[in-house]
Amino acid sequence: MQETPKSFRHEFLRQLLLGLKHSSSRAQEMSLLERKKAIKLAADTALAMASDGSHWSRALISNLSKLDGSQSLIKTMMGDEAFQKIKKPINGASAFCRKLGARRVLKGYTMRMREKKRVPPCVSAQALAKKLVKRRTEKLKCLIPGGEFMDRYSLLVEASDYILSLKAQVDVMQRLANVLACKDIQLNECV
Amino acid sequence: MTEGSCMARHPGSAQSHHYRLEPTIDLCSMDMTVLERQRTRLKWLKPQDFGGSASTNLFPTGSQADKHQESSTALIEMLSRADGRDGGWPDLTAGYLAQGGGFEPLPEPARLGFGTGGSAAANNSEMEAACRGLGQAAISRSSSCPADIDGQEEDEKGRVAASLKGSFKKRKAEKAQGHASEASSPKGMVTEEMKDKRIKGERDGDGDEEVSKQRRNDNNNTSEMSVETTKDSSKASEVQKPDYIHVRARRGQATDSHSLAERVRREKISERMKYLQDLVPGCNKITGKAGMLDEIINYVQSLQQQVEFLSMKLAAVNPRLDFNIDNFFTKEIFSPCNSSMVSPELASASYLHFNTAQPAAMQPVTPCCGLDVPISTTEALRRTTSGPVTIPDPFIEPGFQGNGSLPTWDADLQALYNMGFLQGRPAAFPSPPFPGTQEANNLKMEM
Repeated sequence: MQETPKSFRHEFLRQLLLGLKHSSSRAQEMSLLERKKAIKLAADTALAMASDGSHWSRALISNLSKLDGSQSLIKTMMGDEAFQKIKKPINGASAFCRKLGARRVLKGYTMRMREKKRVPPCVSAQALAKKLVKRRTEKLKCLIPGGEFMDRYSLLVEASDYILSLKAQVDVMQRLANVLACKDIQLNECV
Repeated sequence: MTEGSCMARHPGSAQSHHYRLEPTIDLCSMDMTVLERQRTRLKWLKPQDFGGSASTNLFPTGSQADKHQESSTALIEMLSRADGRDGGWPDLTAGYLAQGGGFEPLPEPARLGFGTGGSAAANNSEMEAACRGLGQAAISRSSSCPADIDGQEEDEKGRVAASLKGSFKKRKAEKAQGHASEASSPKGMVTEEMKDKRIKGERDGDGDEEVSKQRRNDNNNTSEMSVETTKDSSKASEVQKPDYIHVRARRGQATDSHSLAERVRREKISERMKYLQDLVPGCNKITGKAGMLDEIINYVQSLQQQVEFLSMKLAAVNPRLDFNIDNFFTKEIFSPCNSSMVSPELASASYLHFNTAQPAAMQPVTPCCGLDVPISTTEALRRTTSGPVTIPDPFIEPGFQGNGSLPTWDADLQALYNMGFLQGRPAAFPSPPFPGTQEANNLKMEM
């Protein structure tokens, strides 16, 4: 079910090829794994740039920029000004996020400590359901870039957006791989 | 009729008890979700005419923002009427609302037009657009007589209520149309600022003591609570802008503000879950939140793994990371062996950047590979292209348009491609016979 607009796929493909072009200069000396990492980096950056405007895309780019050797590629793809904006720490936000994250970690830790003490033999169904949902929500927060600080509703919104974009990414990359694979086959046939 | 009864009332505290708006719509008896009810109400009230604001002028209007005063008073009246339980609240809420907010995104002209009594329709639409454009939901738990609402009042109320919502700590994003919500925090903050500004502006034109009382309350933020309590209760239905949700307590359900708010929040979440159910394949049978979350997690993980796998495949297929897309697309787009994989965007991209001025390049390719290339399409393409086409550098440029003009090739690159295609082409891809040309191709390859 193709729900992403064509323009999104176009944009993604364009950015992807741009990024690959940037990495292709060093392609000869790279091993397979390095190439794969470069391709994945370019693909993720392209995805984030194509779906600009959502929370997870910004978080994804900032996560990617923390990887080694990624900054040049991201800088090429995004342009220098945008990249500088990302690198520049937002004074309040980062401290706040760190505090929030720390607070949450502490709260989770203390809650878990407390829970372990007073686990009743018969847990009500509601409490159990809540615990399950909570556990899964936390897992989802780890999966979605930038999801750690969102409330449940925004998390779902971002998740739906992320899923759509991921599907488009997978689709485009699949077609690209097929095109290349077929081309190879044809070349071999021709030879 | 509800309208008449609503309009006749004053926001006096003593009469607030009578402000029960009877359920005008039969939604109250139906077991629908809050959101569904709201949407039905919206649909019902959409064609409502703008009018009757004069009759709802409850407060002495100040010199400026006269109309604003009118509609805000109407809103106040509606809100106060909505509150059937607490007699004391309506005044507070009324005054609070009278001062209530503007939104930052509300376009200046709309507000000014409103204040100067511009055309009602224009204001209405502008404000509607502004309110909708907010994207920030304010859950208004108020309810008002549906018939009372002229468009402007709705907008005003929506704005006010939304600003009130913005002042609340909890922000609920309501998507009447089910869009993804915009970032709520910046808008919320802006809303609060705007609200303060409007409050200051309103003070000049406000002479009512109730309003002043509410102003004081506003400063203490107790109005928040008062507004919240107006949400409680009432069986009155209300049509409002899509920006906020009207909550009505169902029979046998708790009616305090917290549970109402929670109910709204839960319904929003469940609506999002339904949308996600459509996204994630194979979720039709799963009904629980935990199960759905499980599926979503699995799906996201599988998609991410697919991306990894595909990037590995792309790395394996291309030892040089040189994606000579043009060459690929020229063959692949028109080859039925890849017909399942031919995507519209790839086709259009290749169409745009396909060097159709090179028939020589095409012909050796197709018969040699035994492809069932529909020659007619290539012929058609060739005919449609008018002159030399430049490289798809425009594609790389941000100004690239999907189906716009055909790019033109440079003559040099054309020559290069001819060389590359006609001579030793099969060897070109794994190991380029002309490293120089390959570089050039790589440079200009993109779409």
